[in-house]
Amino acid sequence: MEDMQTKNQQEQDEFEQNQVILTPGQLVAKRFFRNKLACVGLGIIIVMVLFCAIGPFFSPYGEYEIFYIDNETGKEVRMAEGGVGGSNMGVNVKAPMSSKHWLGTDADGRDVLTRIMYGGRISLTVGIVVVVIELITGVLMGGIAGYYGGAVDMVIMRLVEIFNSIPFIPLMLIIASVMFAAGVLPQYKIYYIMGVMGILYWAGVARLVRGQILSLRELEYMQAAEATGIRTSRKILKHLIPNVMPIIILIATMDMGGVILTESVLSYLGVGIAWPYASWGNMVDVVNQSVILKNYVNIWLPPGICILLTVLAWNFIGDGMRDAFDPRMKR
Amino acid sequence: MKKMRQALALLLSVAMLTALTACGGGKDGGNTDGGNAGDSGNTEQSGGTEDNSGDAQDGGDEVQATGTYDTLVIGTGDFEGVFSPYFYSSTYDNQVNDLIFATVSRLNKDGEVVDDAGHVEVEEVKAEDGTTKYVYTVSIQEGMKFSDGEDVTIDDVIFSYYVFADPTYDGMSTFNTLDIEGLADYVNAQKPLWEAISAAGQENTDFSIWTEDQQKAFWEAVPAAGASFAQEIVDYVVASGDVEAGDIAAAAGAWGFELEAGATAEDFFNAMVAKYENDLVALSGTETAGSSLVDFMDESFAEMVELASVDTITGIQKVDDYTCTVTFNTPNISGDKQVAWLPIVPEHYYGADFSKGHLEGVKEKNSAPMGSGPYVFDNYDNKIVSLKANPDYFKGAPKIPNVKLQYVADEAKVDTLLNGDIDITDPPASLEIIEEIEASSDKASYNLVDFAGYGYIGINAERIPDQNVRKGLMHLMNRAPAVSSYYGELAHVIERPMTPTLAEYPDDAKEYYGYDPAKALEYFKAAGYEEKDGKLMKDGEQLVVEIGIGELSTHPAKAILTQMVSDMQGMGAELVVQDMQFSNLSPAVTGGDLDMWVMAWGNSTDCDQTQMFGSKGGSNYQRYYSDELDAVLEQIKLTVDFDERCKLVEQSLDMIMDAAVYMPIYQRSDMEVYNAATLNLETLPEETTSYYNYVHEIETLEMQ
Amino acid sequence: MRQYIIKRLLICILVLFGVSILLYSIAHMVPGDYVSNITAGNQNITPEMEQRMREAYGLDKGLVEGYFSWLGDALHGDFGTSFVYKQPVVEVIGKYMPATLALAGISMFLELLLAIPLGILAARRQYSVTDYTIVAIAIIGISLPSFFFAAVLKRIFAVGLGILPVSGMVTARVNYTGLALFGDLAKHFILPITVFVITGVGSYLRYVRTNMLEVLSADYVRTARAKGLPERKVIGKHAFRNTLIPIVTLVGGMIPGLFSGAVITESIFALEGLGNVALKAVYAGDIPYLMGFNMFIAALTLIGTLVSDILYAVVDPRVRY
Repeated sequence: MEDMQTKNQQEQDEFEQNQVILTPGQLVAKRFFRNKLACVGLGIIIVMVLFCAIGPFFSPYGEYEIFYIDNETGKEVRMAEGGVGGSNMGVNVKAPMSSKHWLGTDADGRDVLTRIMYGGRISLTVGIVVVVIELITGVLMGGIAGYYGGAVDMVIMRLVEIFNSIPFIPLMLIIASVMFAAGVLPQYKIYYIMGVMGILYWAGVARLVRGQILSLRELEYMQAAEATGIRTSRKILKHLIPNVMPIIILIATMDMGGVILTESVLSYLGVGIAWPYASWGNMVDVVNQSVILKNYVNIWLPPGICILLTVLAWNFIGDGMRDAFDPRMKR
Repeated sequence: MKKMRQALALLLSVAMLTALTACGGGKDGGNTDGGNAGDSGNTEQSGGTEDNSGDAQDGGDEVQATGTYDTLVIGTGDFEGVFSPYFYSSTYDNQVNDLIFATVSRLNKDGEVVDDAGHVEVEEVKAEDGTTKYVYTVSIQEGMKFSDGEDVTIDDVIFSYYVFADPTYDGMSTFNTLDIEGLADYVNAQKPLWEAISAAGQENTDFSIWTEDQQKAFWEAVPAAGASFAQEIVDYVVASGDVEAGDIAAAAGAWGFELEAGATAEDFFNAMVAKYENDLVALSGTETAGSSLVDFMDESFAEMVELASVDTITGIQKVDDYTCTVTFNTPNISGDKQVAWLPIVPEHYYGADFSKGHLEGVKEKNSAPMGSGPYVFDNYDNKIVSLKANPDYFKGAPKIPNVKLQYVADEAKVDTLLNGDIDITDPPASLEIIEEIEASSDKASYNLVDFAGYGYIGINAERIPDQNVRKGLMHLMNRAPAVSSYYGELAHVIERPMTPTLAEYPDDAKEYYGYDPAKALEYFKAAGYEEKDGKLMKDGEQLVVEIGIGELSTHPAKAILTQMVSDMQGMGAELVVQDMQFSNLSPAVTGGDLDMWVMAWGNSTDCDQTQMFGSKGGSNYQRYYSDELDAVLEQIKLTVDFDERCKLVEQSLDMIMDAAVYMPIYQRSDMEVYNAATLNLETLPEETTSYYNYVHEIETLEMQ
Repeated sequence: MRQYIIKRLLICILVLFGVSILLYSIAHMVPGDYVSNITAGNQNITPEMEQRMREAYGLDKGLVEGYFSWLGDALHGDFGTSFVYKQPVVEVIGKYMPATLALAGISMFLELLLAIPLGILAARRQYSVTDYTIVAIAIIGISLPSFFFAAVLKRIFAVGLGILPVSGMVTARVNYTGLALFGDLAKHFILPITVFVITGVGSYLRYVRTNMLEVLSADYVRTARAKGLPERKVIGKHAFRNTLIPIVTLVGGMIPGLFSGAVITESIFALEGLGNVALKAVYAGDIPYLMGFNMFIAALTLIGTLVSDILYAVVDPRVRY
């Protein structure tokens, strides 16, 4: 009898010693990587980033280099080679896919593949920058508003309303003209636009966060936190906000894609990234010309697919992260 | 309680959703009449099917269709709904006007004035005071009627003149700038009080419009106001940092007036007065640093006063019910167009409440036009303008009973026509569209029409004052490959800054600045730039040029600029390309904030280029001022002989090219596409140009 | 609660004042003014003419003076006359509102109709093929620009198959009335509404799904299941309502969206809507219209926010103001 008890005790001790204790962070990571889709998403993003960051070094062409074609000999001449002024020369627009141009050239005579690589840099960066700005501001403001309620809530929400009332397009036009008047160089315009977009979007985030917090504030664990006298900032940051995580992650991943789209709409309206620089958004723009839509699929389909894959990937990652962070998930 | 709250919540949400959608759904059937002409919302005719009831009839009865189709649908641009020949600002609104109103004269396919509903001729006449006047006699046909049955008389034409000349007219016509006898007095009969007193002078004794006290008060106030005016200028100069505060003489010097040291603001003002020979109005307008002279005086002096009650324009005289004369003080090469290429507008309808300075009654009819043209306005709804044939049209009732103009987006025009929804449209021309149309030749056919305008690159001569630099830049513009690749035969490179459709354009003009980077570098060097450390420098500054391009700009310019950027980079200089919305580009160009820009001109009907290239021209964005050029441009306006004028035009264009401020890029063709399945193509005009198309013969157009 | 609403309404009015000042400054900062825009291509305009036109349009007043004169008129109900359309602003808005409202209203209704059930379904079958498919389709909808779908749909249905019209609101050739007109309008609206729904349903679906997932892992759901309630009741009676909380608050924010119109889709399909009109007003510098329209949208935004907040309190008993 005693033998059995000691044996059980020994087994238990061994078992406890052999148990691997994971930190919460490791737990999250483990749950994340168990989600197949999330891994696929992460993989896609990594591939895209590599493609766009390193790819241009492998391409012999420039981002906005145009190619001439000698109409008589059919030989292609590059922009910087000289001798491009003759009357027999033409610009090599809408060239079909070939070994020289794997995806052909676009309506202005530029290599499509190279532009996809450069364009990806912009599109990927824009999403991340804007989302980071809007999240930091929005979550903080929304958290404060939701938690304190009363006058603070009133003021912050009125601020949100004012921001929501600002018409987007006139504002973008004004920013464009202000940038011109201030002498901002074209290649830097997109960064200012990113900043402005981030600043405009915090309002929407704040509203959603505040709404959630209004519900969570009255829950028992918050009352407990109140009773134990924890500092307010700790209460907001360590208790409330992590429970708002699902919504935050959702907003983050959706806006990643949304921002890329907004950038393409801005290009459509002429206040997006400066000419002649590339972004996936302004490459997809050409789909409006029915001629290109019908006959030159190689110009618009690749950037469209890139956008699609990126947005999908972010969403899968978002799902994976949400599941991984959720302490109530049993799987 | 809880259940009630939940139920209430659900109810509210559902109610909200229903309310939102119900509001939306219900309005579909009966669209509001807000913008209509007061007619019923939708006409009662049902679908346009079999109606073989014979030929069109004249007079009185409604026009019947001659074949299967009774409605011509024209696909065009976006309407603003201002269908008034006086106040339209969209060319598409004006398309509607063209169908509703008849004109006294019109342009033929070469842009020359020919008779339409009337006739115009001019003769030189010696007036009593010895000066030469140019009298235009405008006459209209007898027996014409407006579509409400009233007769057309010359009073209607004269009514239009008075509307254009009205001091409160704010439309697009430039009629009130013409040098017609008595027009200036009529338009400017109202002036601010101070301008009137100042113009009358200190010795004035005529106190019919103002009192002697007012005049005395004015002249007493002038020195103090003038000193403040001058002080403002000084402050302005000081603020811009060139001069020390308090040093009035130096500030005046910077402003262009030599004063002795220690001068006061009054001295400054008196110096200006001396220069302007007491013309305070001109002084205040030109030398202002922000405020006008009257802003420093009592505000009663800024009120408007009637100088004299000028109710008629002396130069416009009615001769009889169908004839009038318009007298010009100076010759005007487009005078006949100005007085006769006008729509005939019914005075009894538009001018019922019209008196000088009150155009509200005319404006009320903006959405309900009525005229004596081939078609009558029915209504405007859902972006479609509906017109019905006018059986009393003086050239005979139109063969097609109904015409509708529908807004179709440019990219959709060809597709919509091939689908059979529209019959005539004008998509932007491109090689692919031509291919598409030729592939469906049983459904569509097209015409190429030369566009009455051209694309160009302009250089601001104030920002780039060195002509050598400008010439260098011109040699870097590689136009030919770009234009030919993007447009093929639809566009061609032009060599002079003028619309080639004009008769005076020198067709054999030679290329002025060919694409030659080596020559460009020579010019830069001649301007003083040297290569240092791979950069092109002068006085320690690199050659950096900024060019603005609109997002609607066409592809050839973009290829040209890409090449320029690359070439200049190779030389060590830099070309910064700012692409911007047209509404940003336009003020930047007019305000002189850009070194160079890419834009285009359109719709020119005569060779008078004073506004674009003259020193005082309102459209002289390139800020190139040359007295020689001004002289030639003035001369062109006064030269009636065609060959003489051509020579002068050639001379002026060469001078402009030499100054290197304008590089014309290309002129392209527009296209008109016709639905071969619904239209009777033989009834289209033989030759369609930018001045003459099917609209001018609309009454003979037939459908199948 | 009533006190709260009254307080909010009063504050709304204050905010509207603030917003009007902001909007006025923005409208004037947009580069170029109406007169220079319409005279831009005309070679014969002289500077004096431009000045005269400026006076006629009231564009020569300073910023402050202009604002107060606008405010004075607005408080009397006169929002000025649109430069572009030469009609009172209120009339212009009223004229184009029905089409916009119809499009947006029907689209939103369809979006919600699709998003809610599908979102719930996806959440219930998390990690299954159904879930992945639904989510993937939703995401495709929101990952490509609206003009992309518009172009592709047009290509397939209008040009390729020819069963739907390419653009416009009605068929011009024929004069439909009554029911036939309704049918014609409906036919022309199918493609634009499809584009709206495709691009809009995704985000709602994701919200619903995320919330549903949250709710499904809650303890009370476990209790309900343990009690032996049929799954239908567990979802329909218990989980569903709590999912609705964020959705219901979203509805408030959708109100201004109903009227602001979709600029790009409207212009692609040549529809006469407020979005298109607003864009043209911005480019043309039509200040009265911009002020009138944007104040209208601002007011709607404020009302929408208020409605959302009220609904929030009503629907979620934990919320207290």
